[in-house]
Amino acid sequence: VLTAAAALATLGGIGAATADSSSPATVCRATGTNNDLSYSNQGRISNPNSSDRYLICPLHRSTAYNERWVYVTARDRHYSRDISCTAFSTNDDGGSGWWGSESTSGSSTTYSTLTIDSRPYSYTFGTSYVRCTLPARYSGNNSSIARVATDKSL
Amino acid sequence: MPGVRTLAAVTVASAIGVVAGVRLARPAPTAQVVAPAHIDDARVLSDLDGRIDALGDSVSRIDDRTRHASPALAAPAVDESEPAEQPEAALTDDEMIATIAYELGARFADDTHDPEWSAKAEYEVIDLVDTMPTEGNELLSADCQSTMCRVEVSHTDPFARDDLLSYVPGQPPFDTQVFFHPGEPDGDRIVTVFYVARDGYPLNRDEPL
Repeated sequence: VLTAAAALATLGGIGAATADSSSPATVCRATGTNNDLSYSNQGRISNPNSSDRYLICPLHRSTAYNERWVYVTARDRHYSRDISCTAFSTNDDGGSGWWGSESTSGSSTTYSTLTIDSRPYSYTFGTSYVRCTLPARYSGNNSSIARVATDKSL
Repeated sequence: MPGVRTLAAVTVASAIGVVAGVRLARPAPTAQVVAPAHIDDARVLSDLDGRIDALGDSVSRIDDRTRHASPALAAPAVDESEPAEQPEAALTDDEMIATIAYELGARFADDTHDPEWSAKAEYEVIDLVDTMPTEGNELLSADCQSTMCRVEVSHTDPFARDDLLSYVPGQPPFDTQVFFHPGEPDGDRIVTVFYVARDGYPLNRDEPL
């Protein structure tokens, strides 16, 4: 069961979500010391390991637009653990800013889109990124992310 | 040519005033008033009527000329609208943070209290900070109302703060919208204040700042 926002986004699909800037998930990279994610030629990134992995993706946002929504197209193959993504906008030293989070729930064989209401105010700090947790491989299936996107509508 | 048009309008209005004044000044004919013998009422009134007609014609000619006058001859336009707003200087990050922190603080103070949800959310905050795998963070306060929580955490240094900011996002109750900013230092420890939205009650304002 997806959250309400994610379910709406799934119905609309990412193409209908007025994405303004969209990138394949391979722009993301692992955080920490376990840099053993799988990067596909189709732009997807997945976790073939037996424990969770964390990744960070740049968000191409402009202060000229009121980009509010962040979309992450993901496939959660773990029966109990979720793909959880948090979109951040922070000042340069990271001591101020905001975030918004969404996560999947349950396992699915298809991709769905998490729609993250990333910003409570019409203001963009200097650094914007989305951080996701990819659950461990489960029953031979890897959870993955296909792309990340933002829009410029408020 | 609003200036010229204004001038013409004033002229016309003055003329009308003259006419009205003259007409108003005419003595009302009453049986009790006896004109001096040397004044011929009919002749004076006829003369005044002639002057009024001539004045009206003159005003009409002025009005026609101003309608067709070259713009270069027009008097400078008088802009009676509101003075144009000067573009506001963009707020710096620090100014924006202070503005948002002030507003969210006020909203938190005005928020009503939901004892059931607030107790649950406060417990989640306490448990989350307490079970962090890294050292250096101490929960100073966790207060929840009905739509948001205000949480204060002190850190030994920015690295401990970064550990916290890596750990809590995505975990209840920090799995919604959160705004955070530096608080007043607690001795030699830095402090971060968090405003945490209750699920279903986003921090979004209807109107952007």
